[in-house]
Amino acid sequence: MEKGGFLETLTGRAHPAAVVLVGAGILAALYTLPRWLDRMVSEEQRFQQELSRAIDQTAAARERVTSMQALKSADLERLKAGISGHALSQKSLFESGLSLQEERRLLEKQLEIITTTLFINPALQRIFLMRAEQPLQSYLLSYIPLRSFGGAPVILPPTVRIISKERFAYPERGKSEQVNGTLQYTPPQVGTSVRSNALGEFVVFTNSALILHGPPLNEEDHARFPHICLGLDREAARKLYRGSFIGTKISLSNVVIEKVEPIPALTTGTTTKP
Amino acid sequence: MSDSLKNGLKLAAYLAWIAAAGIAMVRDIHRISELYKSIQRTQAMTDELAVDSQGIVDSAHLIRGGTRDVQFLQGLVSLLPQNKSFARTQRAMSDEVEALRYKVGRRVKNDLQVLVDTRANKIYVKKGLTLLWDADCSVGKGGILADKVTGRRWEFVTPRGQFDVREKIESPVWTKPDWAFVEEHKPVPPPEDPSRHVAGELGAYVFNLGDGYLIHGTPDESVLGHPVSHGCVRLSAVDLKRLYETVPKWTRVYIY
Repeated sequence: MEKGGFLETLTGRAHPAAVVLVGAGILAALYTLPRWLDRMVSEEQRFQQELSRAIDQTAAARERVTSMQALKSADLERLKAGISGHALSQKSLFESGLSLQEERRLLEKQLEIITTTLFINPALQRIFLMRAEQPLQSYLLSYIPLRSFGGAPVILPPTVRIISKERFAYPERGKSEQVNGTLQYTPPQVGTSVRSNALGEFVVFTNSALILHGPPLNEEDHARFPHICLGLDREAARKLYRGSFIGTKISLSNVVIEKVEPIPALTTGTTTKP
Repeated sequence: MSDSLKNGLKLAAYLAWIAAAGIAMVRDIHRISELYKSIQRTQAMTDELAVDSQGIVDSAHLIRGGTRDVQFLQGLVSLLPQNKSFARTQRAMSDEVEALRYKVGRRVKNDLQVLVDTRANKIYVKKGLTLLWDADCSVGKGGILADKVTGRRWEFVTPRGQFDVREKIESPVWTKPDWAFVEEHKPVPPPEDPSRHVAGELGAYVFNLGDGYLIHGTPDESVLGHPVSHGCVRLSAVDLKRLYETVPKWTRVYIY
């Protein structure tokens, strides 16, 4: 009764044709919707197929990249592990090389000092700079026989030794005296010193009266200063000064020494070194 | 047609419409459900693709970083000496050193020696061929000082050769030589003048090598390793003490 009432109400208010039309429209929509939905689903499925292909490719690519990453990491780890060992071995090789070089330099120089000698050969009128048995250089002697100046002895032992060197011959010590209770000092003057004038430069002293030196600054002072002289030129004196060492032996064989008449000698003094 | 028949037909039409609409709606709901599921699957696949893509990006980033690290480390390797003949040269040098050891060893025997390298500014203490210790030192700076007043000239080099430790002195007092005053542009005092005596300048100990040359300390240890002295050999306080304790009188000193 109520359903009939409802239908009555529905149909009673609208035109029957409109009701039929609306009903038919609704049915048409309801039956058309699946086609649209089917098209949507099939589009979605096509899209999914494309996605699936992309996923497959991406997965393959990711697999490749992951394996490359693993390889790279392994390489890096191997390199890191190897580089420390490599660096250590190179370092020890390098350091042992340096250490060898240092020891070689030290031994070579020590041997050079020990084996360097000077040899005066009157027959050849030369002085030889020797390393062991090997002559390195020789220089001409102006005085053969050797000359003894200033009353120096005319005899030399067969071997003498270098004990001191002076690049520029020092003058005698200056004089200090007390004047009116005050100590006054005149430092040594090169121009007035027999010693510095006689020996000039590149002076090599021995444990005997023999002194090797360059040309004197003053010939008279040279003749007055007590020493045995070889008469070296400046270049020879320079090279012997540079090439010899403190402690170097000088061998003299069959050396004859000629005494030069002494000129009244002046006193010599001691010197201080830097 | 009676009203009851009309109503019956209407009802039948309504029922038929409802049935048709219901069937259609059931089919529609089923398809909508399928579409919804499909969309969800698409979303899941899109997420999966995004995760994979991000993974590739991350891995590529790590690979690039790894490549840079490898290049850096390979660059470090190339800094090290790679000359393969170096080892052979070193063996040859080792043979030469062995020959030198034999030659020098015959001469120095097992004696204690002090060696001073004036080029490297280093001091070595050896017993026979065995290095006991080494240290930085400072030797003569070279150059010539001229005194215009007296015409004197001094060369500040450390002489090379063989010396002996003639004296070992504790708490030495330095007697300043003339050149020290000339260098300071001061008048040279008499040899006996008290102004020549300077305590502490030479450190705690002095080794007298003769001829005015000494091994001594220095108030300025920062210059050790460089040639700055006037001909003497300068050492640090620690090394000077060690030398004093190690080296007895008359030990041979080689300066080269």
